[in-house]
Amino acid sequence: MTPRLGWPIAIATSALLATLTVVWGGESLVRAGVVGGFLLVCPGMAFVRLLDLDAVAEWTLAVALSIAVLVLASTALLYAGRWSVLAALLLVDGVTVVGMALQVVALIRRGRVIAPPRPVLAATPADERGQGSRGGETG
Amino acid sequence: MSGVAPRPTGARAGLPTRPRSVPASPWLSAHRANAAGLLVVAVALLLWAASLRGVDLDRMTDLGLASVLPPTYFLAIAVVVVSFAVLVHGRRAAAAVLGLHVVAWVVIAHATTPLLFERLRYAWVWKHLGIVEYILRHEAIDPTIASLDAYHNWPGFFGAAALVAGTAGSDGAATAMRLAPWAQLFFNLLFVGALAFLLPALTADPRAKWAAIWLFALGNWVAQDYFAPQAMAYALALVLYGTCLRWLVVAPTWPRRWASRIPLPWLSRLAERATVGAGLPAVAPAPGRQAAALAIALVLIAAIVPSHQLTPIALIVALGALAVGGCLRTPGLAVIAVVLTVAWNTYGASGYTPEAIRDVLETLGRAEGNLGASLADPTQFGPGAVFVAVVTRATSAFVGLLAVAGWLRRFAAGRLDLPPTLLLLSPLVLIGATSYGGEILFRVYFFALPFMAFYGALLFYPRQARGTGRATLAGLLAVSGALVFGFVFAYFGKDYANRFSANEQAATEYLVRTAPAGSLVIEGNGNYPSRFDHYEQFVMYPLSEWPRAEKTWDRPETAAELAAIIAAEQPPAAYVVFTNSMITGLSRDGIAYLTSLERDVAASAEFTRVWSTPDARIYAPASQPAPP
Repeated sequence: MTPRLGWPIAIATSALLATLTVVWGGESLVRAGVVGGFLLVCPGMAFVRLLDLDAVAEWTLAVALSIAVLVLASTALLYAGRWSVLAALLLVDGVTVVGMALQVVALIRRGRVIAPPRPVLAATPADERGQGSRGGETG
Repeated sequence: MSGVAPRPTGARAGLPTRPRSVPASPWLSAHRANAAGLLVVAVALLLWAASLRGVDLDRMTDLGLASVLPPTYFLAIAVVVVSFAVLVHGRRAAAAVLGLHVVAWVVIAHATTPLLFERLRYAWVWKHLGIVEYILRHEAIDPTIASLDAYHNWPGFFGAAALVAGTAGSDGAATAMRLAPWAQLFFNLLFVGALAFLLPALTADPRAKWAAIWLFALGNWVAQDYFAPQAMAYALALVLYGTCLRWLVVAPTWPRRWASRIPLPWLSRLAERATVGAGLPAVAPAPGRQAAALAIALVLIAAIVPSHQLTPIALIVALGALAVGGCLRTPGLAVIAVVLTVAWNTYGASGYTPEAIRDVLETLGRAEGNLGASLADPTQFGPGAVFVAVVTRATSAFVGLLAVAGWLRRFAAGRLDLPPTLLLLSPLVLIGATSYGGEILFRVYFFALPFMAFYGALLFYPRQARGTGRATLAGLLAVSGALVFGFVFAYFGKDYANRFSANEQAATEYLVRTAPAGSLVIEGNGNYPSRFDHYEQFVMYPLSEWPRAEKTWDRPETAAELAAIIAAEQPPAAYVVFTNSMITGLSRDGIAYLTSLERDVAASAEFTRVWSTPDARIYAPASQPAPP
């Protein structure tokens, strides 16, 4: 049995640590690592985990969507005349929390807060149409 | 059973046969393959790390960084190349092991200069740091600003970078400067990740997938991957293409219908046999998955549009081609991309759009002129630079030829993949649309590269049952070797001009400390670390534009003419900056001009030297009061 709340908890912890680290201030590799890890993975992962994807798709989309969230949050604040490091971080925190909440709600609705392990193999288009990559001539 | 199975009796030549088994390599079991692959990657990285010790960058010639890299560097590359080709071809190695080979190449290619160079390379990246510093200092942008206004009108990347730098360190500008050299490594890892996400939608053959990723990584010499909006927008575009291909693209049926109407019987038979979009899902994904994919695509487009000028245009052309080709389940996505781009250019970038439109209109339809603007005249440079220029063009042509040959072999093998074909061809439209400041050819190559690499891989592995012989392995090795050769000269070939010293950075820092706001800074050209701090407080006046055409205005030839320009401008203070890196990479005419002018300024009584190091000199009018 795999606890499905692992990612929501990790994302929430990461958001909290990143925000506290920035508010606390100071210069350290730990700060750069904590904040960088949060900003480049968590906002996207908060939403991507809703989709039950294979690892490559999940991580690629998580990083790409995280960057997109940073861009959209920063651009919105810049054009609103409200940009600051903390304001932008808090906005990204907010977006992440929304995604994380959706994840938790989805898990509860599916009754999968504690669920069996997910299949190891990915859902590529070939799998989705019922033809595994070893299922004959598809290339 | 090992070896190639005999063809079924009665099978007509050229018709599909049942898949043949892949020859097993009895000595290369999966465990051995994985263990050997991991060992090879470790050895290659150790060789690479050792090769960086003792590299003397001062001995670099106009062949670029390759002229000073030791044999162990190339041995490290050779080890990775051979191991990757053997493992991909053998089909035994795990995906993670193949992925580690790609990562090893990316590290060897893109972590070398951050470790070797004293300061961030590429003069234009320093300007990007200047925008990040501006946002961190002002907590705002200024779309009407006089200098570098395009960046203030497409601020998405810079806002995100300022957020990352400002949160990762207490001094955001300094943090950005520390992180920026690693952007090429970061973005290239993101590119290959995006391709690993995209390619399973096009082929179920892992050999083709990994070979395509490999050829992309080797063929990405074009250096559009540094700390800049286009690198981020490109990564997001690749993920967008992947999202579309996996969940929003469908194989159209009209090409097969049209094939029956082709008057040439042999061509008609060939075209009919081609299964359009073989790798694409035959049935629609679940509605929920499609809706999620559409939402992801919208978010990605929305992030790309305010970040870069050209990428949204490339996206519109690509999505439009897919929609017109009947390949997009939701053709409205192309319309949404158009609407978002027009809306941004009208409102978000209103301060810059008229200028951009004028540029596009001036170059619209002038494909020949736009191409010419991308190609510098090599006869003005030394033999090394000429060699690099030839290798660069040959490498690009080689990748293009690989793609054409791969497309033809794929078609002959009974496959016509319309979506990747459209995505391959769509960037060519941009050549007729704009010169993009003389960079359009590089951008077209960059946008087409993932799909050129895909077809290049299909040259070796056109279908699962094909490409099993040793000749294919030899071909993959030969092509990889040729691309590596091209890469080390094309990618590193101008690094003698892209390398800057701490003294040159200090020259700009001196100006920031001492020059009053509004000072006129006349620089030989922009090829030195400048505009990275308080850039908006200076009026910059480059005497010659680097690296391509010379400026068209009447440039001063003597110190007296320079003094006259300063007197006419009447700035609060004026400075003339010369650095060693301004000279490197210039044409013979440019070198003669700048050295002669600096000699005249140094000897003139009208100027005083106010800052001097072996790499950088700053002069000011003799009548100007000394800074406090």
